[in-house]
Amino acid sequence: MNRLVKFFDGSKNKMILSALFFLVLLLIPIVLRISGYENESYVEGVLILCMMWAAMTLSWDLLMGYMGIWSLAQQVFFGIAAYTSSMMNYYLGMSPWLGFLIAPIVAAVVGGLVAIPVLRLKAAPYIIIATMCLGEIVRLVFTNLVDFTRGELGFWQMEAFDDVFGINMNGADKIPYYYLIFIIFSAITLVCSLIAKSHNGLAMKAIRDSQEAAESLGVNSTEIKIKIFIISAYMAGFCGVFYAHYMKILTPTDMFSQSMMTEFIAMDVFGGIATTRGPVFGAFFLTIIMESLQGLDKYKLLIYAAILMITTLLLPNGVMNSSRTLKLSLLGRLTKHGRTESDIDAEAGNG
Amino acid sequence: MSEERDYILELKNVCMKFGGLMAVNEVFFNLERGKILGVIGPNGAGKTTLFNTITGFYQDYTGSVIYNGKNMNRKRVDERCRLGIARTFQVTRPFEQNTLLENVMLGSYFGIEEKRKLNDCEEEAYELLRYVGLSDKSKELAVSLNVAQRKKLELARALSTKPSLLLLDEVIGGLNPTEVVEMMEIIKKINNTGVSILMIEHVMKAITGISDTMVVINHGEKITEGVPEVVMNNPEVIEAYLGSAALNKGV
Repeated sequence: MNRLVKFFDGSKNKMILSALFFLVLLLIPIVLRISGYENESYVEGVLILCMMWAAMTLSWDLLMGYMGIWSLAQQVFFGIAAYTSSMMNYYLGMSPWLGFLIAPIVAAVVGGLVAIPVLRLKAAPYIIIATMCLGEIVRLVFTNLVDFTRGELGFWQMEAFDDVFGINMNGADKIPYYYLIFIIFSAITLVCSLIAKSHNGLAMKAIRDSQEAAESLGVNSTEIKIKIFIISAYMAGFCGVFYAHYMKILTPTDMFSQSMMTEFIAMDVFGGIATTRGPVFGAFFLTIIMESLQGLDKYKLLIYAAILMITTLLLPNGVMNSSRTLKLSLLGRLTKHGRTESDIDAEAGNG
Repeated sequence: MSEERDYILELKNVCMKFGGLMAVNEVFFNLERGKILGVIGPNGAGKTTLFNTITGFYQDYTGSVIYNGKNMNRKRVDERCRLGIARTFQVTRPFEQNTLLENVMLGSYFGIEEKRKLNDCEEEAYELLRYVGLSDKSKELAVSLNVAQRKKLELARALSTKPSLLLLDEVIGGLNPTEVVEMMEIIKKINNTGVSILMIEHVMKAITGISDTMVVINHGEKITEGVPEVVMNNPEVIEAYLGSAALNKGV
């Protein structure tokens, strides 16, 4: 039990909150079905997107948040896995379930290959340029290899997942897909937080703050970077396979251009990097806001840019890491006479 | 004279070139096991460069760095660390967004070959923080530390890898007199546990008081070496530090 509490930074509140969050997610479809709510499948659809983007943002946060590697190629791993699974299905007639077995491995291999050039670059701007170019190159390759990838036409009407255990997966009822992504999302959340709390997490954060110092203390930074790139790509691969057989439409522009990556950046930075709760909060919040502002779809990227700028200006650590900043500014406004930061810390500790 | 000495570190004709500049030129000296060797020299003499070759940050030096009788050439920084060479940085490099405990835990987990439970490393890290007098801040982020505390953290981190050779790059630079005395006590304590120490320092009083032998470097070359009293009275050393005019005036 103590170890379990320690997993949540020694805070029982965090543990209860996380348990509640997953319990609510687990129960929502059941409650909706029983209450006979008419927009059931719409709500479920939005939550499926929330969970998928949260899982993607979490997998990217391992690279960017914990290790400080500004790789802007996470959508490439996602897209490669989606394409692999669809092509296996389209050309070879393989079951989409097999996609989960093979496509994430393909994504992981690509992740390992991307890691090698990135390792030689130390400064963030060079890594950003290199990975952005990678995304663009992959997009052009997939657009132009028409015989193989069907070009800008893309794949559509992929097969849905086969029925398992007598559960109908044809997509008319969203509940099976909801629970499928729920399992993927929970597993990725668990793996990411386990990595963050392990010795690997320690090394990743150290590499982020000073690679030289980390190496002088015995960390093999090359090995850790490649390892995390592979794990991160592998997890993104699962989301990719799910996307391919849930959305059932893939085009190179959708999959490999920077617009999807921009969403992950906005979600991560908005929620708070180098935490588990940050990316999850960011992804849920932004996906739900975007869904409720349906008419503004054209201005999506503009809105993300605005959100990014406002968060970096006002809450540079993201919403979930700023409870102290918020408390300070609120209290500063309420009480004019001087209270030191440590007073507020002490209160926060008691509360 | 012919008696065989037990050297933990031997440098043989180490050269390090940056373009046309010989930053370290044919430097050779030995460090006996369990002793403290002070490295002094004016700014830009190549002392830190020398440290970087010994720890492996620079790989394309010539000559050889021999540690415990084994040639270290071509070994990576982290490999040398796990073999027992630890260092601190002149410009401190704490992992700023990590707690002090995490800073030190990293070394106790990765710095030695044998892999242990993270919990054991945590306890050990806490002990080390207490050793250097930072245990009350163990849960704080390293970014909040002042200069003296950062230097102590560097030291605790280096010690966490259980080194047999410790390279200290100006650990007392920037400290006030009380802190210097504190730090020297800590360094003596570490040396008494059997750790050999190679240290760069500018505070002459401190380094002459603590070193068993000293090496003087200027323009990348070794000028002289020997016991502190002899080295400090060597005319070449005085010239390197104060200029030739000082020698004429008999300063």
